[in-house]
Amino acid sequence: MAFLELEGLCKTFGHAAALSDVTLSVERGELVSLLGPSGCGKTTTLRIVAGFETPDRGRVLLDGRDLTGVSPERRGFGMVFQQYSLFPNMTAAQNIGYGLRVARRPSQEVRRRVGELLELIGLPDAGGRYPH
Amino acid sequence: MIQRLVVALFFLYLLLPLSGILGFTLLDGGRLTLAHYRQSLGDGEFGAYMAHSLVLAAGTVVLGVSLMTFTTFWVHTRARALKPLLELTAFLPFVVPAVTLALGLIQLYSHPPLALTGTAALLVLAYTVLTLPFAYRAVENGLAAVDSRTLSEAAQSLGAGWWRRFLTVIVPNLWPGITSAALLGFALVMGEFTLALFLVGSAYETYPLYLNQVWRTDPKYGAALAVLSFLITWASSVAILWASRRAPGQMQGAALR
Amino acid sequence: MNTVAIRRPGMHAARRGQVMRLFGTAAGLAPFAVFVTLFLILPVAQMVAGAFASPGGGAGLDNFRRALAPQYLEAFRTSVALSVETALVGAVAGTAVAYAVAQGELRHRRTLVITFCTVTSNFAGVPLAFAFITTLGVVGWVTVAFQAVFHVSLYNDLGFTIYSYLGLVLVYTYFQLPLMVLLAVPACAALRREWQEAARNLGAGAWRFWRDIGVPVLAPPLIGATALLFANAFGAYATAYSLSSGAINLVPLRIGTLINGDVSFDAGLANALGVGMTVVIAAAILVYQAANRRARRWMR
Repeated sequence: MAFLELEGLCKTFGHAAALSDVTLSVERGELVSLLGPSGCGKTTTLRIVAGFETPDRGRVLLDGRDLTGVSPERRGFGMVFQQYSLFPNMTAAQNIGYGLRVARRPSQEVRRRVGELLELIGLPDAGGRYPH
Repeated sequence: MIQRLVVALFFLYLLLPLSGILGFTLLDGGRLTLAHYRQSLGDGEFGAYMAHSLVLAAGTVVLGVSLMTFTTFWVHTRARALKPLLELTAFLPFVVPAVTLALGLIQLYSHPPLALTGTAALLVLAYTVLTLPFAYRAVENGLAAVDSRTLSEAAQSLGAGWWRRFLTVIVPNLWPGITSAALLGFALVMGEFTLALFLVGSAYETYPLYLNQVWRTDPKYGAALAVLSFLITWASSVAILWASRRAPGQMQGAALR
Repeated sequence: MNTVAIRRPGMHAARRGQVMRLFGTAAGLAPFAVFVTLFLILPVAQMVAGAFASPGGGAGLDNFRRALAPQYLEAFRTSVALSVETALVGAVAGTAVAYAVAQGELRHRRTLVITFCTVTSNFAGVPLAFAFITTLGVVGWVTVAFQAVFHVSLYNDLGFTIYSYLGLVLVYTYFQLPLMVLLAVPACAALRREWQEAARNLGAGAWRFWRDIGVPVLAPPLIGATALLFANAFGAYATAYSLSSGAINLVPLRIGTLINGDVSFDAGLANALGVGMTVVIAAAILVYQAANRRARRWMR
């Protein structure tokens, strides 16, 4: 059994069918890209995996566990949004560290991780700036 | 469900007083009648004071809109450094409520060399002050949206002088914004009470002053005139919304309390 | 040497051109500057100067000392209370309506509600007072219906009257509510759905989202709007004038009596009260401006 399994996902919005019978297996550590023209259901698939949409039919399994009905904040998936969706009331550093703070990691660790990541993307001095 | 209830109560609260005044003016002893509205047709005073208000509205709109359009474009093209100052000045009337503006104007213009109190001219000038904030916003939003600088420079490169650019390129492009500013000014003057009371009073009686006066002797007729005032406000508001749908940016009416 | 000789006339011409241009620029600004000075700056300056003038000549604080008399302090207290109360009621209820329309169940009714609010927020002053009197006055239909249904008289048994402080609260709330909706809809609409999704994706529950993002994002524009409602009520004259007939002690009504009355004419005292009133409103507007400057960064 693969790490992440999508089984026969179907989703319609009104009359428009977004997904019909999507099945996919992803192994741990595997890199998968979904390619296709706009409107073909890539985003809908990801939103179902992340838990923002409920499929009309089909299941999402993680490590054999059915995720249907698990709320997004309890799934532990990372997702990068199409518009970056930076929180406007937080600085760059606060935005980066938000997930760790929600996960109640010690503030020292959060500070260290944020510093590393800002360094990594080459913006070590931009941490105090706001997104706008 | 709760949200629907809240919005329904909101509508109810705002419609309730209107139901009261409509019932009061349209019903006489349980019978539907338009008599109190028809009364205005044969009322010479009503016609005269309505004419006063219309004259004031026309004067205010023309003066306020042309002054603000001209000045804002002038600052945009020739004195950009002064833009913050213009913005601040145009915002100032918000800080000065009508009573205090009246208080200052009365003391300044009750005696020579400028004995203006009691004249329609002073009222037009005072109303023009009140129109500055939204006239400025309308023009400013318009200038920002049409990229006035590029337009103006394009026209300049074709040999058009300042006035020609202003009148044939800029003003037509600002027209939707100017229309809504003018309508706002119109609605404002047609309903304004405080400045009219203090600055001119009975010397140049306006429609709002008149309906207040009628109310004391003939409440039904006074209330009918108040409904008419609501209708004027309603019609101008709808026209403003219609005009600003085509105008860039959002605008808020500055109603007079 | 040659270069200097050639440049000199050119420089003169350039400088003359510059001066002419400066003069031309100033000339274009003159109508506006003169107008604003004569009818906005000078009246306010006159009020301030008059407030600080002593009746006997010279400068002094006499007018302010008189403005601190109990009845005027009471007027300020009542005006502030009325403005705070109606601003808060308007803000809470208006935000609820705005949220329902911008984010909630009634998104499909947004245009209708905004049109309705644009119209009703302009219903104010004398006609609005009449509307309330004909509804909740002694013979208003709600008063009559209340008596018929509950066999209790709003006026005789419950001591209510539309010409009271409570009556003013009801009428002021009428114009505060739609104004708040108009101000709060853009604020609520700016709360992007992706922020909520991004937060949940990072493990934040609904409560956590509101604490960390929702409230901090909504607070500045909503606080600013509430400050504007306060200023709006504090400066109102016409509505109070036609409803209270002098029975309620409000600052604008006090000023009105002082400048309009034959017996009570007292410009000095009116100026002092006017300065006090302007200071209160200016403070509220500053709060509005500061809050909005913050919110404008993410509200388009």
